[in-house]
Amino acid sequence: MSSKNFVIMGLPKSGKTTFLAALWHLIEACEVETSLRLAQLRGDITYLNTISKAWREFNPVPRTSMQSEPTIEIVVADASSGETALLAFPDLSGEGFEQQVEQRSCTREYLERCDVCDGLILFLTANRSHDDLTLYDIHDAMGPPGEQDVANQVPWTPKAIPEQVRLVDMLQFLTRMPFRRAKRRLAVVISAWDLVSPAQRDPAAWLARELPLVDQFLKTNGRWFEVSAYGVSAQGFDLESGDKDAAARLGTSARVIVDGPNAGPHDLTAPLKWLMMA
Amino acid sequence: MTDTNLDEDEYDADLPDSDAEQSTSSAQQSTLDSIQLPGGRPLDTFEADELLRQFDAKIIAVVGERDSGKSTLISALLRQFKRSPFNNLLFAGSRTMLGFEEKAWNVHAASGNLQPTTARTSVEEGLHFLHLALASVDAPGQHIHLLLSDRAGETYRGARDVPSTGVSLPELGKSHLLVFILDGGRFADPLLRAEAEAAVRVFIRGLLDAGIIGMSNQIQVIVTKYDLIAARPDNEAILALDATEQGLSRLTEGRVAGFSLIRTAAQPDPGSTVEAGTGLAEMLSGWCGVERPRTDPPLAGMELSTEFDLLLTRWQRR
Repeated sequence: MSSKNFVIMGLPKSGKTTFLAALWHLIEACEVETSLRLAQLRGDITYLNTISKAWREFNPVPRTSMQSEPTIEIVVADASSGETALLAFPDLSGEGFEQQVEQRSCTREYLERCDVCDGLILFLTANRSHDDLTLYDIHDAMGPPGEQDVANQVPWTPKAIPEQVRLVDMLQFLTRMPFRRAKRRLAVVISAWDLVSPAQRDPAAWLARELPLVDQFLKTNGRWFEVSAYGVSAQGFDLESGDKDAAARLGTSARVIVDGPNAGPHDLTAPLKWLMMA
Repeated sequence: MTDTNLDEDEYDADLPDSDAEQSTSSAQQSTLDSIQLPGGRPLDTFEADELLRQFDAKIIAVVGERDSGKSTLISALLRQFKRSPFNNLLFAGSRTMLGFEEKAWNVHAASGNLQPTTARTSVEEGLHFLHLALASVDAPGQHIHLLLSDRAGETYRGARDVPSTGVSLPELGKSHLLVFILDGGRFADPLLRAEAEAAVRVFIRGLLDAGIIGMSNQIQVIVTKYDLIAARPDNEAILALDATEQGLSRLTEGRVAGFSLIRTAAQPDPGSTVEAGTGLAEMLSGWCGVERPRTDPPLAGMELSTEFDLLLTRWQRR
């Protein structure tokens, strides 16, 4: 049995843990067709059971804190070849990645995992806020400020770094010391995919449209990253405002939405299968 | 994961046996559990030298006095690429992302400002560089590295008054391209036009006559806020600018490797007939395409004491 180590990257609320919760259910329940299936239960699966329970019951999946970043190990079997593999990936908190960008430091454990990993999974979310608007954008939309408007100047801090810049920096770190300088496979997983209109559900096109700086960086750094993009809705609908009953009627696994290269409509394992092919 | 081999002519300044890396490693204190990562702030001359040893970067010296629009121009660049590829160029990375962000903060909606401005560089900060790597859409793997100098405008005013002091501004002589900012907002005003033009003309003349710049340098004059010039009645400001361009061309002819003047309007006023981003494509193409002419750079009066200074001699050996 081979062993594959992956590193999951993503800012807070990018859908990392929800993905894992749904993934665990899909490969264990075998309700829909997936590229990989659970081959063997092993080790302590308390964490997986906890997060997947929340997911099955249409509750928000507990967020991962920096104090508790469990490493998940799953033995999977390739649905077509039957070949088994041990997949291991830590569920790192989004706050840890924020710290990388804002404080310019990472844990030694993260460094070591990246240096030996067989692939990276970068989580983005389609549920984005426009955090990089300029005053020009505001003036274009709403006109110049009036006499009654009062300035309330706020000094710049690293916390103001917008999402695109954070993501580029997170990726750039991996191309320089102290990280091992090597080409890595990178599966880009765009979560909350249900928020994207069906006519626009092309993950690569979404990336170019919504995160152009990240898209350009990846296109020009093929020396460091081999990229495949997927759109994923692990919940299948908006948990806060959507119809849970309707989602439940779809079937537990069938409510999952996946778009991407060689991905079945509910196959959350597709990004992992691609990473394993390296 | 596959280890990446460097190209034959590429020096990896990130390797731990690099002298530069060892000397900076003390600044990158790591504990048993915490690893220091690259800072992302503007590069000092030492850090710029490290980058120059690793990449064949182009030094773009952006020269202008206080409030001329230097910082606005630089911060507008990354903003352009955040929205889309530009002029068949793609963003390929930057070692100074935080530097760009901090410089552009006063344009940001979250800054609390009512009007967009740009953070001024203080005199105390000295010389720093912002780094921008770009690539052509036709050759995305071949990066073009730009080092954009950033220095307080007050310092340049001092050099305009005493040109010989320009020798203490290494970015002037070392640059692939000297970019002088001509404040279009002031040029558009007939009462301020002569001084706005003189600020650039006298500076160029002084640097030429003092031997600070010469045939190893290319000069580009960037006229900002061209929408305000175009808005003047009867095209009088447009015609005046044409005359200024001819005058500067005559001044520099035969004394520098090349001269150009580019009219730009990064953010025209509402209602302007000038399109937003006017001139930026031409400017950026010029920056990416500039090559250092194969002539000896002026060395008169220059002390070659730091690694950055010694870079000048390495260029001569190429």
